[in-house]
Amino acid sequence: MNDGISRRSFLASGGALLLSFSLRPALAAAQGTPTPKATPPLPGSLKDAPALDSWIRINADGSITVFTGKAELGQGIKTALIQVAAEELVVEPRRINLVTADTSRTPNEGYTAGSQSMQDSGTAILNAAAQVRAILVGLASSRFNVPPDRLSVHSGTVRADDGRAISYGELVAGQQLRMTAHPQSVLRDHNARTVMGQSMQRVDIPAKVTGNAIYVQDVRLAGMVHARVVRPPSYGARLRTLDAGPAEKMPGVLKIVRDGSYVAVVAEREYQAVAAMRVLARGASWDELSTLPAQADLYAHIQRLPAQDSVIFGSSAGPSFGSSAITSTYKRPYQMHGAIGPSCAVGLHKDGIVTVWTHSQGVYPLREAIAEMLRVPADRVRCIHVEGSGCYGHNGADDAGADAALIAVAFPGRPVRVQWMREEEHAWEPYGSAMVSSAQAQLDGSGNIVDWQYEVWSNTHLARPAPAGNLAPAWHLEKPFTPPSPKPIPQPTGGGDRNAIPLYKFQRARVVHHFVPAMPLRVSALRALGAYMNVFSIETFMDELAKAARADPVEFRLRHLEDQRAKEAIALAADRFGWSRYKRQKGRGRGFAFARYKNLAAYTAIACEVEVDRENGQVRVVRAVAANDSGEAVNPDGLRNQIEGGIIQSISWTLYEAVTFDRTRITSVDWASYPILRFPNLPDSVDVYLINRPGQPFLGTGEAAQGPTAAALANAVADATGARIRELPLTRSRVKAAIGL
Amino acid sequence: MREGVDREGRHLYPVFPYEHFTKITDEDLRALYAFVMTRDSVRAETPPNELVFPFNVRSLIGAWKVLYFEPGVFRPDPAQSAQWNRGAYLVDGVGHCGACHTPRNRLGAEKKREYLAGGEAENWHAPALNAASPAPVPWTSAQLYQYLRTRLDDLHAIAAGPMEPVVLNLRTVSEEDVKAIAAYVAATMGTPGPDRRKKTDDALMHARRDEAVGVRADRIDRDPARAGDRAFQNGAAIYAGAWAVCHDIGRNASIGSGLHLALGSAMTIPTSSNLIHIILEGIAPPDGEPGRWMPGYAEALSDEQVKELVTYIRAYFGRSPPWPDVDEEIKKFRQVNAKLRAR
Amino acid sequence: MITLNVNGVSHQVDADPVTPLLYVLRDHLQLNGAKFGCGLGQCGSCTVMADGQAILSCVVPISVMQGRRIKTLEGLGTIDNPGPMQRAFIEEQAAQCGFCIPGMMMRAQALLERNRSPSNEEILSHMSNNLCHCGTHMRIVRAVKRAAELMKTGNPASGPGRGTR
Repeated sequence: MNDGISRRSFLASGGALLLSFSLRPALAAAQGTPTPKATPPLPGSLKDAPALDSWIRINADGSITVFTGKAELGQGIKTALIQVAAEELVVEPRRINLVTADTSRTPNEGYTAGSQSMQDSGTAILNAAAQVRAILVGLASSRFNVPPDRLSVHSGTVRADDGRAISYGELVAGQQLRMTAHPQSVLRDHNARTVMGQSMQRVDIPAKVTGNAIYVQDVRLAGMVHARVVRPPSYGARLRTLDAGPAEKMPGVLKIVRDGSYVAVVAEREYQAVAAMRVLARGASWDELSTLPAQADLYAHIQRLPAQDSVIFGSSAGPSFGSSAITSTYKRPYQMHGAIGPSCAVGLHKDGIVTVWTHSQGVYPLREAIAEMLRVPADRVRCIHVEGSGCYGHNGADDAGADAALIAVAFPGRPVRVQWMREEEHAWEPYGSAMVSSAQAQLDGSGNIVDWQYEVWSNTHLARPAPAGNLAPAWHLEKPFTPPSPKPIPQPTGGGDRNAIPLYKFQRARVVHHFVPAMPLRVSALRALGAYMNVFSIETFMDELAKAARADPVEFRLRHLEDQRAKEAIALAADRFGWSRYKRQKGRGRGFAFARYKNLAAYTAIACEVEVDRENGQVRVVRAVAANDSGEAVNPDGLRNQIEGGIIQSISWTLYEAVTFDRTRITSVDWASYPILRFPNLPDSVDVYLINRPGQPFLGTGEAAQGPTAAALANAVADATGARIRELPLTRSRVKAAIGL
Repeated sequence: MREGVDREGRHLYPVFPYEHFTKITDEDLRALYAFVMTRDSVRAETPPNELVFPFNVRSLIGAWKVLYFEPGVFRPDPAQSAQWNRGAYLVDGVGHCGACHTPRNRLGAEKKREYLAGGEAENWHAPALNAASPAPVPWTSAQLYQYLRTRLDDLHAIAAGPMEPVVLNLRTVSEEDVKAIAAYVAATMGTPGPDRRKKTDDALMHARRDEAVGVRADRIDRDPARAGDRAFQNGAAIYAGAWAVCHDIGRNASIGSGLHLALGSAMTIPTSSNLIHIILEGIAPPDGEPGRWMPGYAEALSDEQVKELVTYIRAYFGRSPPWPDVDEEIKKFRQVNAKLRAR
Repeated sequence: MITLNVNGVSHQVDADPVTPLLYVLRDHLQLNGAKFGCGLGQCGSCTVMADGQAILSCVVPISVMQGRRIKTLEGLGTIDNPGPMQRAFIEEQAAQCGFCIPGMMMRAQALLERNRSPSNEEILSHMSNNLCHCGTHMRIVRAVKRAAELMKTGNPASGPGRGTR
């Protein structure tokens, strides 16, 4: 089995095994499959980073370094990827050191977004690890002169049946191979999992609960200084005058940065920067424009703006509706990410390189954007992901990274830490777009849906950097960058039209996406994108139709579904909730909803019970039961954590959250003005039941619960009160107004 | 409602403010009854009262009523406008504002000759709503309306303590009625005289001056004449570190911002109790709704630190002589909130 | 110079007396537990304990903290030797992004030191000071209950917790 490998041709490299050139025949033989003629695509992110050494590195001491281009956001991806690698490499998880997104070290996997991490990175690492294992077995086979199928692998060691054994580290010593990934891998038996499928405790939690330096907010570098930005009071504001004199004289102040309307202050100590920033803000006067619509007119305004209309499902001829057609319109306001920790970044300009420590979801695109903003080549910028708070999509992280880069260039040689204040995060982060939707359907004589039409109006849900024009700090420079014209994200993923096409099957259906490019407020990707609103609308509408058909809401949905996995998830949630045995109590009601995220990812069905206070319209979820199918569950508890968390987060969005603004400025600038769910309003219980399918592809789950929760909640409120509310959020006053006395 | 008796005809304690409810018209009483009867009933046993002798002798209330209770429906004053009369009807009747805002004698009856001259509720001071109003900036009818409707007016305090639920409920009342209440109270307060106007100008200038400079931590030593006064200086330092960032930059600077303290009634009323309540408990919006927010300092400050802060605020922002009751009010608060003791 | 007693150790801090405690803990004493969440006293991420009481370190100047016994997350245990509150949060896997968690733990610690067996309502009411936006609340409540058990008996009342090590 020595074909193509000659020890003398190996390059020594400190004893690490790096696999990166094509060794197809040997590899194929080791894996027991014939060399394929055609080249099918490589699985997951391997297609963009086919060199196996980009992903896996075996060290001489037996430890293993695994690289991912994805970032830990608190969704447990580090742990899950370690489990995947450990399973296929057949080592204990603690021997694996996982390196996450870093433009100098890891593959480029774009953004950690769209619930793609397991599908992209998990699949890549699964296959890369399997192929590395095969190569190691191949090496052992040639060393022992024993066929590979007579060797066994256990705990990082390859054994022959005559007792000879060699560890991965020993196999590697003094060798370097370069290998490209193969489209096929010999994966281990998914019915005999030892690490995947276990609820392994998250590797990041112990450090987080003991105060170890984990977050970008905790980065402390030698000589580090602190900066604060004096943010403009509104989007289009221009700096008229700046009297920096008083701020300059304050203790610890090292520099005032000014570039056009971009103003910042650098100081030795953090609080000195905060104090100086306040004084500097006093010395700034701005010209502002009233560019925002009247909040009371928001939805009509969005529907009046020019839109690019596309029929994303069905023919342009479409269904026909008679007088008995049912129509409903739904509304969703701008909503925030609102991470508990405001954005932060550290920048260092030294030896011609700008390094930024950032919690951006996409370090590669951010690097490009910062390079464009600074007008330097991309290889002069390095972005390293360090965990941040929350995230939930494109928040202020990239902008903070841009701040750090700009200020570091203005104050080179020492690391500069920029921390956003709470008001900045609330006013400047990109929001989830306000949306309007309209649904129309016709039932036949047996109460089945035969004609279905759904239209949704939305701004873009994607305004992320790479272009520098998507970095807010760049808008205010002397030579500013302007945001590019937004483009819709195509189906099947979609943006405002994500999950606008229901999974149900109707005789005649048409779905139209009205993409509105003009953005009155700054928007970008917020967890689930358009799916939150579309699933809320569709699943609420299904409930209205079920009522018109005098059918049970669960049975009504099953009636219109062909997808077997969807039906199983629905049946499981209904059963565990006790749907058919439910007895309505006074002031309470139940609701049901289902969706398959993006019609491609996880299946999630949710049943919930609410109680509504008749006197003041206060809604509280009493209990929620979810059934979820994510294909193979790598870490079941991790999945449960994401679904539970998604349900609670969605309850907060659905009952409380709406950005507020006047004609010039955002007015919801802190938690007092943008309330969210607090402990006393929690459900009594949230139970998540997982359908685990070992061997099936991983399905993204991080955004699966938000849409169904909103609809289940609204349906339960309708069940409890008879009042159907179609405008989010379901605030007390809105619910009370719908209930009446 | 009219006579202050229960179903069996026994006297009710005037804690139930029938001295006010007696003014409600027949039509309104019928409407109240109709509405109440549409609510879901619950079973609630009234706990027995724990009054000491002779107050636990219910029949003695009959004598109290002879002395202090005037039953009878509200009679409009023909010399006044319809809006004034509507306001008077609501304030004196169902609104029962005097129950808190009028001082009471030792037998618990409102002192009719000191109508709306300031009273007490649940350990908070209810400021005077007549010519003796302590507000640094005199209330206009429009400002009162704003306050009653939204809990907040630009130049006046936020409704806190027992006033908070009043304001939350007034949101559901018709605009006209709230305007009538505001007009009536403004009329009762009357037009400010020259002395009062001078004090107002001082207060406004103080606020504008501080807001123009903004938050300046290096301004601790604000009043050079008080440089030797330790309590004042310590209080100033506490204020600078904890309060200045929200209270010194103007209320519209951000939602977290509070009123400049030179404009707040809590600083100018005769007792320290309201200020102490607010410092120790903070201010919170109604559950799940947007509103103003201030954290409470009960755990963070020792009694001595609270006293220093209160002394400073009264002197520097209230521009008034020191309160005599600070120790007592702090002690009262701590007793009621034993678990919030700092030390 | 201000003297602060933090986690049992006395520190001489050269900072303006009006500096909020949070900045001194993080910037001068290099402690990561207390977090900057809002600086307005609205979210509880900065919660630490002073003489057993939970306080919001972002709105309390160090001038009032002299002579107080300040405890931060780091005073509850270390990664090699976690205390009962920390063990409870690990065992319940009570975190997503984890940013709010140190404030939650300090807030809960103040409750349990005063009330060893709080009811569910008492926990919810006490914790209402602290915000989480990932939706980890249910696990946080379970972790607080678990911590109460661990603090009482040294053993969890029910079950081995979530997940395997």
